[in-house]
Amino acid sequence: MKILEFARKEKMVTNNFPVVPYEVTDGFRGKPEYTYDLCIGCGSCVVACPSNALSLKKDEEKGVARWKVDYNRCIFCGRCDEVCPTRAISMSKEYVMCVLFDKEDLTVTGELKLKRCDTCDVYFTTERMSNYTYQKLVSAGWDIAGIDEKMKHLNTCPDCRQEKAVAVNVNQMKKRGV
Amino acid sequence: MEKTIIKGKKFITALSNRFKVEVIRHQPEDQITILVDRNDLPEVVRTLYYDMGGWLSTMVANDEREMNGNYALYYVLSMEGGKMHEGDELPAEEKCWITVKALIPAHDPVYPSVTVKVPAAVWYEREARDMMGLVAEGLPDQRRLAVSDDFPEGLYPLRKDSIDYRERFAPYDLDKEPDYDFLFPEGEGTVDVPVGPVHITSDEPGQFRLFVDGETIIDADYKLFYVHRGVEKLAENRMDYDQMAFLAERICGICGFAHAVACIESSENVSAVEVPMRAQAIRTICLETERLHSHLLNIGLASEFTGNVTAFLQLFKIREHTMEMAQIITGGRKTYGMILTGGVRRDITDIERKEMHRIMNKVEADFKECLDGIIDSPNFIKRLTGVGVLNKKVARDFSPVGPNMRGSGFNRDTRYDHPFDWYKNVNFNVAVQPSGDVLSRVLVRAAEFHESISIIRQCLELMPSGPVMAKKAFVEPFSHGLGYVEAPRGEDMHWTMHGNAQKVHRWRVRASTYNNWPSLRFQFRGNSVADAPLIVGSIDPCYSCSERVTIVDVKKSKSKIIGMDDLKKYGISGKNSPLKNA
Repeated sequence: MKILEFARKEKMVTNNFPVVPYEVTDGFRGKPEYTYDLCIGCGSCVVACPSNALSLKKDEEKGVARWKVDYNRCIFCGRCDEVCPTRAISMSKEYVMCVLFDKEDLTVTGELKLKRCDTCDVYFTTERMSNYTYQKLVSAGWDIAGIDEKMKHLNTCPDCRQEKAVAVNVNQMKKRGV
Repeated sequence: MEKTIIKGKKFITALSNRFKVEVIRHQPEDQITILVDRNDLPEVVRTLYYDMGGWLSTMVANDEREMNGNYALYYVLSMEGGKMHEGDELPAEEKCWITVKALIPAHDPVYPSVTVKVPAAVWYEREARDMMGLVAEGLPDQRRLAVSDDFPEGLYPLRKDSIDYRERFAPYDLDKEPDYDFLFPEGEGTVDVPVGPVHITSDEPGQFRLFVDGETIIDADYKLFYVHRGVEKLAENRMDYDQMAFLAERICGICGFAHAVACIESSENVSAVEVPMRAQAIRTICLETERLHSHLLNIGLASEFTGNVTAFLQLFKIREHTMEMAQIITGGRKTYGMILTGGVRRDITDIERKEMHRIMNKVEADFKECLDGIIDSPNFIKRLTGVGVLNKKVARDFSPVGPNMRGSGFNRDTRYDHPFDWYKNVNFNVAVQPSGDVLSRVLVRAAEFHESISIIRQCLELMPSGPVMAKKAFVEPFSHGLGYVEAPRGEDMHWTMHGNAQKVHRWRVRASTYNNWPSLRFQFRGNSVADAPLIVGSIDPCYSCSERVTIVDVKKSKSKIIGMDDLKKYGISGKNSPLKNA
């Protein structure tokens, strides 16, 4: 009965779990935490999520983009953390996820104000996304001169921008007589 | 340059003397695809299998109608030598994968069965019929395998045009549901013991029929695939390569990381991605960490089935430390989530490395002591010796993998035969035991446990510094390749054909246990009913919770339901047979 001798060597190794929490190591991938103040609604996390736990939907009536995480679907892979440009979503050490009665308690939602296109008046991005782009451009050494004209370009939706570019090209070609 | 041996050339030359063979793909250098006529298929596969020392690793049915108007079959053979006796093995530089491809015209989806000549193909051909509607002429076993008994006729889920998700078929009424046609042995006095529908120590719910004469099992039949989840179709429809790794990791709860690696490497192998050395080493470390906890689980369960619950719990105590190791280096106790195309997502720091060494030293010493304690018990040895023997001849015919195979004296190990990742750079022995019974499988696992620890140590010490992620490369549309990994239970094979939007076109997953099931029937024969859970356990499918067993006496047409607890108790004590009053 060598096995009993082996068993006797170590004292109790289990702990009183819900009372005494299990200590996880650094870098443990727990529940992804959402920080609303940092989120710009770019949608990178939604694209990266393998299990469709994240969603970003446009609500035209309210004029908001609704970002939502559904922890029922989350697989704790941490891809969202990896791709987020502003660290709005990051992995925590929390792993106990129990709710009583209502599965909706396992979701977190953030509403981000949408921005209209200057030309066609259609929602095309969030206000924060637009500001973020502006700040990034400034910090990258964007020339502030003629800012109004440039901001117009920034506040135009991709569709209108495309049309504008085509129109400009067509005009130039006409001038050259192509 | 002339000196370089072109891998597999020998086999192709020999084949072309007898058949019309065309090499259609040779990339990477150890994966060769040949195209043969569908009528030559059985003979070509047989020649490669028995005459040239091949083993059937997987078979893929593919819908290529949008490419060339045909269906296609790919029989993947691992060329490594017969290994039936000493010296019957190919030298390392000749080992390769040969994929035999045959086109099946869409208007006539029939091909001659390979199973008649190579029994290992039986499950694959049954599955090809269910999933693609390709009929193997002459296949001895024409029953369904993968789809349920009430699945509509003529609907083949993996065909590209098969299911419009808006039009689901109406299910059968419960009482009209057809039954699965089990193979009943002939003769008087046999008792049919159905075990299942959900349980007996398999990760998937499976229904087993044990046909017993008195206490002895004379034959067995089983129906599995109750939890076929359709991951292949899911990935084909909506996933890109980065997302597939996470889906692949969830194929198995125990050896998930092996699947993720196999899945990603099947796409890396055909594109120009060069995985950094450090990433390869980290993959290897994670794979071996997974093997540690999986083997501890299996040895623990072998002790539990023989009544040694103390040993089971002590092994689980050690297992907890291996889970901790995984947590330190990957951030997850079980699903590691480490891998993406091009490398791994996370580096191992120096602090983590030291911590790994500390835990490994403890785990190694503890395991040694604990195993000594287990082996010390004559009861344990007696229960395991001579039980569930996998005959060498049966093994050669059915291509089993993993410790199941190595316990029968074959040194088949993907890490050794087809070294992938960092395994080229580490030294390890292939653990082999000659006798083929449950005990030898346990001993193989115990020896592999120590090898794994040694591999992790070597990797941690020798791995080079550098980046852990390489840039992604373009995957050529409709190229295909293999990914292979030695999971704790044996070789995992993934075959992918790439689509034209940098997404997967067809993904074929072959988990290791898939190759071990067909030969299990022969392992059952001649053993006592009480040993059935032990034998199923020894091929190491994952274990699910207990279920009930129905006993049917054919002669008296009486049935009795006994709980799994009763059978387990009987398995432990060998007294008060629940069959007696049946």
